[in-house]
Amino acid sequence: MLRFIIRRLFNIVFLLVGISLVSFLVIHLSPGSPLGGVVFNPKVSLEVKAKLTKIYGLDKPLIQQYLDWLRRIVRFDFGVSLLDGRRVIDKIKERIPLTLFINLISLFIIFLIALPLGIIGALKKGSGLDRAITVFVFVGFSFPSFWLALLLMQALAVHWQIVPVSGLVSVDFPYYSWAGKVWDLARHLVLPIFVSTFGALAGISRYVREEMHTALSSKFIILARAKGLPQRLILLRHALRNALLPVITILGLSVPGLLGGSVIFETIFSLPGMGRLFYEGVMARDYPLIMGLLVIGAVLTLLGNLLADIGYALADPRIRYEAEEK
Amino acid sequence: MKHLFRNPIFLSGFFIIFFIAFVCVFAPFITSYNPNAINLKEALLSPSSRHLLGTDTLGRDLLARLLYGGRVSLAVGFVAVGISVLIGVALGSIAGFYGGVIDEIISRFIDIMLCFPSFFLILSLVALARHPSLYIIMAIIGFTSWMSPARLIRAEILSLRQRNFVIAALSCGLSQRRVIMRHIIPNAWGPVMVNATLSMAVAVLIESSLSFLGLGVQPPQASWGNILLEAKECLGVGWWMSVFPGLAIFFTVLGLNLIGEGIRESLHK
Repeated sequence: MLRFIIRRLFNIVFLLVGISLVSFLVIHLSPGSPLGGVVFNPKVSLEVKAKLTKIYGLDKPLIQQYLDWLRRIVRFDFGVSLLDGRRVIDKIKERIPLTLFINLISLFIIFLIALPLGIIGALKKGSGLDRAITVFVFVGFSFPSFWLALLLMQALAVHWQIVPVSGLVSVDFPYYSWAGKVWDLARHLVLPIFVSTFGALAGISRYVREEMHTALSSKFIILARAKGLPQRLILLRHALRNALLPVITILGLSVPGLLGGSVIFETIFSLPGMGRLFYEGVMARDYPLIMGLLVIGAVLTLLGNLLADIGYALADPRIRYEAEEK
Repeated sequence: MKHLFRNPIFLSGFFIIFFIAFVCVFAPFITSYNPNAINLKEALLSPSSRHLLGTDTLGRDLLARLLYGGRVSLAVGFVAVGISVLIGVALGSIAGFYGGVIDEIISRFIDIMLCFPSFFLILSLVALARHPSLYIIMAIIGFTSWMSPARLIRAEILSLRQRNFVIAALSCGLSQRRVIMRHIIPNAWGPVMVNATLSMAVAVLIESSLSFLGLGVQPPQASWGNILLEAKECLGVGWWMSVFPGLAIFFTVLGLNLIGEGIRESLHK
């Protein structure tokens, strides 16, 4: 197990260097300067421009710039935002918890719904119920999440006024009691969580169905049936445990999709999360912020992959041994 | 091919896409309205016999904007996927066929690219482009989505090159280039087609999301996404503005997903 983890860590260092290189090149090979709008802004004096150029080391050769930047980002120093002069890492840090919170809750709900849907689909493959689930899956796949958000906003928030239109808390939030605060947050978050859940639900329930079907048609299930084990035991103890393994990995692998999705729903619902920060950065052409978020996003993805791998190796001895033999 | 046209899933997807593409291409014959003609006297009219799907805040006919906007969405999807498949097939087949160091370099590069949340990468490139034109958006989506076709074709080729007909072709003295182009790629085509139709659905979604965020196709040129953006700004006033463009995106993506699934099913037969 230790050797497996060490091998993975080595690979990760390599990927981190690659990520930083690609992020750096994306910004620096672009037409225009990484300083963005500042260069063309007539209000900014030449002196300030020269100073900024020096601060960002733009007068040095590209390789030198990359190495300097790399030296800083390993300490999570992404420089300061062009928009308000605050440190990029501070801006990102305060935005991560909300995004993480919404995504974790929706992941939890997704699994709560996707597991039964997938299992029923696999058990009754080809039945009317399975077809109905499949239709639901295709509709879910094809439903643009931002359209869903727009329709829900229009119906629930504008027309019936059941939930607030957008934002994280109401204006008089500080004056609420403790319970009132929780209720207010919940009312604001119910639509965003619903939208982000709906988007990924279809894919994961489809995936559970495929895995469950593979598990159910394998030889050890036939043996269990021949032994006369009760159906419930076969399902839970034998089939589900094997089908769940690949589903674990999906958890880790869904990180990039979830991060991308949060840009959309956080922007629509004006939630102060990482996705909205990215949108703001893009709108303002705030390159240090964009670079920082690009790197952090990739690192989070990498962490997700690593967790998936470790989870998989812990759960499935075959993977572990294979890795050790190499 | 015969299999394909008997597959009900493929057929339903095919007819949806055929219908949408048909009405968009022949838009001038279907509506006489100019999608960009502003008529403030007729702003925000609900659907009627005069304006079948109503009008928007500037009094432009919504049906006309949907039809002309559909051309944009379909074209972006098609070209973007074309670019990604082209890059993916080229890199994937080189990696799969030559193996060794070349394979290692390409595969590691794919790994690195896959670490970035693709929507983050796309948005960063859009930010850099400053004034994103239609062609730039096509290129950006294409250049950020070639990784999965590349992986797919690499895996296909790794399994194909062990097969007897490839070994036979090589031992007959055919050049490697010819073996790849004539014998390997045609055989790996099926899974790539499945992947391409599914990625076209994703590309249509990405374009409309970008335009919805105001970062994609710029007004006055219509696209399904930016009509929805305008709908968001007059939320609660004109329901038709947020329902119809969404339905158009939904059915396009659904149709493409059905085509992909249909091809996948008929491959496994």
